[in-house]
Parts: sequence; structure tokens; C-alpha cells
Amino acid sequence: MKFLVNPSKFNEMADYLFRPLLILSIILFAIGFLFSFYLSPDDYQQGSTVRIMYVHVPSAWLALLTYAIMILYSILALAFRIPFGFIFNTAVAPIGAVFTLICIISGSLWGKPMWGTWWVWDARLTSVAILFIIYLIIIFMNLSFENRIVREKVVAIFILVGSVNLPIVKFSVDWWNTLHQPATISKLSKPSIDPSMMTPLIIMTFAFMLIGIAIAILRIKTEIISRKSYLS
Amino acid sequence: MNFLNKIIFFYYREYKLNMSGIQDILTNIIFFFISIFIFIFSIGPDKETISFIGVGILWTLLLLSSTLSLGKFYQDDFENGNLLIIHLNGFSFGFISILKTFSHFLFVQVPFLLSIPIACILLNIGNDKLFYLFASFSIGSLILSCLGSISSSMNLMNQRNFLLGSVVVMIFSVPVIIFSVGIINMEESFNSLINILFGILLIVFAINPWASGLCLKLSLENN
Amino acid sequence: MKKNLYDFYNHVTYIADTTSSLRKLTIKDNVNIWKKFFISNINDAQIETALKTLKLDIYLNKKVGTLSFGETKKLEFLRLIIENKKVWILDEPLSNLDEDSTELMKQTFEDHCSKEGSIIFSSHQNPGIYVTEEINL
Repeated sequence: MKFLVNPSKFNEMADYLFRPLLILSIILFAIGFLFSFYLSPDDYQQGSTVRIMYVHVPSAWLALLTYAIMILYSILALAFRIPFGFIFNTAVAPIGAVFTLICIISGSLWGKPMWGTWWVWDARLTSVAILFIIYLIIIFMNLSFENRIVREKVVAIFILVGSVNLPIVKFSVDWWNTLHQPATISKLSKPSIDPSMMTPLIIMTFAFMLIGIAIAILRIKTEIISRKSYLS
Repeated sequence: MNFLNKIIFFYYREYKLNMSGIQDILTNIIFFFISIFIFIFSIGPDKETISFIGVGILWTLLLLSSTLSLGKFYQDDFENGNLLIIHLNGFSFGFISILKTFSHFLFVQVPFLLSIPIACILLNIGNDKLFYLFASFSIGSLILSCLGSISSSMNLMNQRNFLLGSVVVMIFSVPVIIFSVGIINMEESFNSLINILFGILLIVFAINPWASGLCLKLSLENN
Repeated sequence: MKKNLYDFYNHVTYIADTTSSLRKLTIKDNVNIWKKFFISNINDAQIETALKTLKLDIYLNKKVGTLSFGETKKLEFLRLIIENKKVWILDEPLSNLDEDSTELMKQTFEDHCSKEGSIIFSSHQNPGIYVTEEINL
């Protein structure tokens, strides 16, 4: 597990992992789209629009997961002085922003036929929009500081301070009565979703996750290289 | 005893500084009132609508005009080296940030607090709501001062893009706005909402010395 | 270790290339603030003589922002004197000063060293005073 905190070990591991991950994610995307467009049933209420779920839900999960991993790495970087955490934060923030943007856009495309509007000021939607803005602020901070050491640490502190938004996003559907439906899939209870819809959802989640990891590997590698040239 | 004296004279120094530049504070307040005028001109002088959305306008403008002065929160002391001199005289960076937060509250937010009644007359907000406004703003403005301390210490080394500091404050002040406008519109749940505001204040107050102290130290080390 | 560090901080002061005096206030206010904030045992008469020797007493009610570079530099030295600490760390202390004040500064340095103080400073010109250890770069 050393490759998760050590840049040179990570580089070795990335060379092994990148191609298989990319190929696997493309295969999974193919299977997932096949399932979600042809092999899964229409919803009896929502009709064919339920298929937006297979993009919307995985991207939402991954947007949250990305931020959670960024929090972990900022704690590692600040408390245990592991510089790989800073590299990870700089590299991964745009990926999280893109996941959040996909989630928001697909959500509003889904909301137009179902709720009748593109956007509602509902707790879940608002908190996800704030998550998107937090991602954007992280990216802008990465761009606008001149001193590298200050930039990394300030961004890590900002990530930690911004982490208060994460539980709000997660539990907003439980705490407030909202238009957005509560979570259908959770670890503790049996999922309230049919297996025929569950399969493409899981496949798409893994496809999104693998493509995210592949892009993250590329970005982290470039970040390590640029940092080496900066130091020398 | 020495320590207490130092704290007193820290505030004496802040008082002198702010009083010599009193036009800055007054400009903030003028900005506040001018934006009220502009809001009313753009909506139209209809009494019903104005009193309906008045509280929201008041809170938005208070937030905007108190973030205007954030540029000078630490910047002056940082650039002329006073921050380091104060640190060398026995204050840790976290403690400096607490002191500075209270001084920002005293010299920037309290004038707004005093100008609220006049704004209430202009916006046609009734006397019964004045108490709720005072209560929510006196807690909310302390939260805003803490957030301002965090964001301006983060952006000390950021010479290119200072607006980022205001954006950071505004993104975290969303819950403050939600609950404090909620206090005024739902008077029956006053106690529960003001307790939530207090909770937010305590959280921010706990984060503030840690985050801004660390940022101040970082910026001074890498200046 | 940490406690010792704070103890050490209590004996250190410095001059950098910035002016630490508050530009918006007058010299009198600045001196007042320093005197109270640093809780120094220098009394008023001593400060007045220091002001006189530095030739700053005529500008007492002028704002610091309107003074020249050399005068703000002299004001920095006044701060060192008021702080009354043992270790002085000075960065280019003699730049922007005329010859009279340079002489004055040298005397101040020698005074300070004779009172068990120590000075670490960097300079372009040879100050012409006795230096215990010299590092040429």
C-alpha cells in the first residue's frame, strides 16, 4: 500500500495500472450503456427518463467520494507531512468538479420532465451547487497563488474547512422534507430498487470510478513531473 | 497582569488605527445605504413589496458591505511587519487572530449594528421585528468576522485575485443567512433557530484560531 | 524547547526593509502605542532625549506617511530603543541615512553592545565599528 503515499512508488504502480484500467473502464461503459439503454425496464411512472439515473447517481456518488478522499489526503498531508497529499489535492480537484457538474446537468435534465422545472431551491440541489462552487474555489486557489508551499497548505486548510458541506449534502434529504427523493440504496437496509435496475447502476458506477481513477493517475503523474522540474 | 495589559493596549492600538481612518468605516456604511437606495429604485417604491422582502435585502447588503472591508483585515499589519512584532511580544498567531476578529467585530460590524434602525425605517420594517434583527445580526456578524479572518488570512499571499477571499466568506455564510432570515420570518421558533445560530458561532469560533493562525504562520514563513 | 523559544522571542527584535510604524498616525501616537504595548522600562525623559538626538522632535505631530525614508528609518531605531530588548536583528540598518545619523547609529550600536546586548546585522558599507565576527558573502 506504499504507492498511495509515495510518489516514486506511485509512478511505478501507475505504469502497470493505467492501460488495464482504461480498457476495463471502456468495456464497462459499453456493457453499462447496453444495459441501461436496452436491457433495463422502463419505470412505470417515469417511463424512459429513468435511464438518466444511470449517469446521475454514479456521478453524484463519485463527486462526494472524491471530496471525501481529498479530505483524507489533506489530513495526511497536514498532520503527517506527507507531500503526496498536496499532489493528490491539486490533481484531483478538477475531476471532482467535472463529476459534480455532470451530476447537476443530468439532474436538471431529469428534473424538467419530472418536476416541471430545470432547477428548484431544494436542500439537496442547493448543497450540491455549493459543493460545485467549493470545487471551483479550490481550482482557482490552485491557479492564483504564486508561492507553491503556501498554495498547497492553504488549499488543504480550505478543503478541511469546506468539509462541513459534505454531511449536509449527504443527509439533506433526511433532515429536511425535500422534493428530491431520499436515498434508495444504503448499506444497512435492503435497497428499495429492483435488481434489473440495480445491475446497470452498479456497472455504471464502477465504469465511472475506473475512468476517474485512470484520469487521476494521468493527472497525478503530470503533477509529479512538473513538481520535479520546479524543484530542479 | 502583563499579558492583560498587552491585550488592552493591543485594542488601544486598533482603536487609534481605526479612528485615524474613520472615513473608511463611514464609507462602508454609506455603501450600505446607497445600495438600499439602489435596491428600492430598481424594485419600485411599493410599500407592500418592500416590507415583504426588506429583511432579505438588509441581510444581503450587510453581508456584502461587511465583506468589502476584508482586504484590510490582516494585509496592513502583514505588509509593514507589525504582525511579527506582535508575535515576538508574546502572542501566538491563533491568539492574534482571535483578538483581530473581535477588533473587526467592534470597529466594522458594530457601526452596521447601529445603523440597522435607520435602515429599518427606510425599508418599512416594523418595530416588532427590530429585536429579532438585532439578535440575529449581533450573532451573525460575529460569525462573519470569524469567516472573514479565515478567508483573509488564507489570501494574504494571493496578490492576483483578492475577490476569492470575499467568495470564500460568502459561500460559508449561506447557513447564517438561511437561519437568521428564518428567525425574522418565523418568530414562533425563535429559540430553536437562535440556538442553531449559536451552534454555528461556536463551531466557527473553534475553527478560526486554528485555520487563520496556521495561514498567518505560513504566509510569514514564506514571505 | 517550545517554552524556551518563547522566552527567546521575548529578547529579540528586528528591523526589516519595511517600516513598521503605522503610517496613518503621528509620531507621538506611534511612540505612545509602542511605549504601552511593549511595557518597557524606558521613561518619558529618556524617550524625549532620544527623540531630540534623532532630530525627530520637530515632527512630533506629523503623520508618519509624510516623513522621508531616512526619518522613518530613524523612527525604527526609536522603536528598538523603546523595546529595550537584548538581541537586535537588523537588515541594512544604515541605508537611506545621512552621515550624521550614521555616526549616531554607530554610537547607539556601541552603547547597546556595552549593555550586554548583541546585534546581528547585514550591511553593504563597512560600518567602521568593532565587529566580533564577520561573514563575507
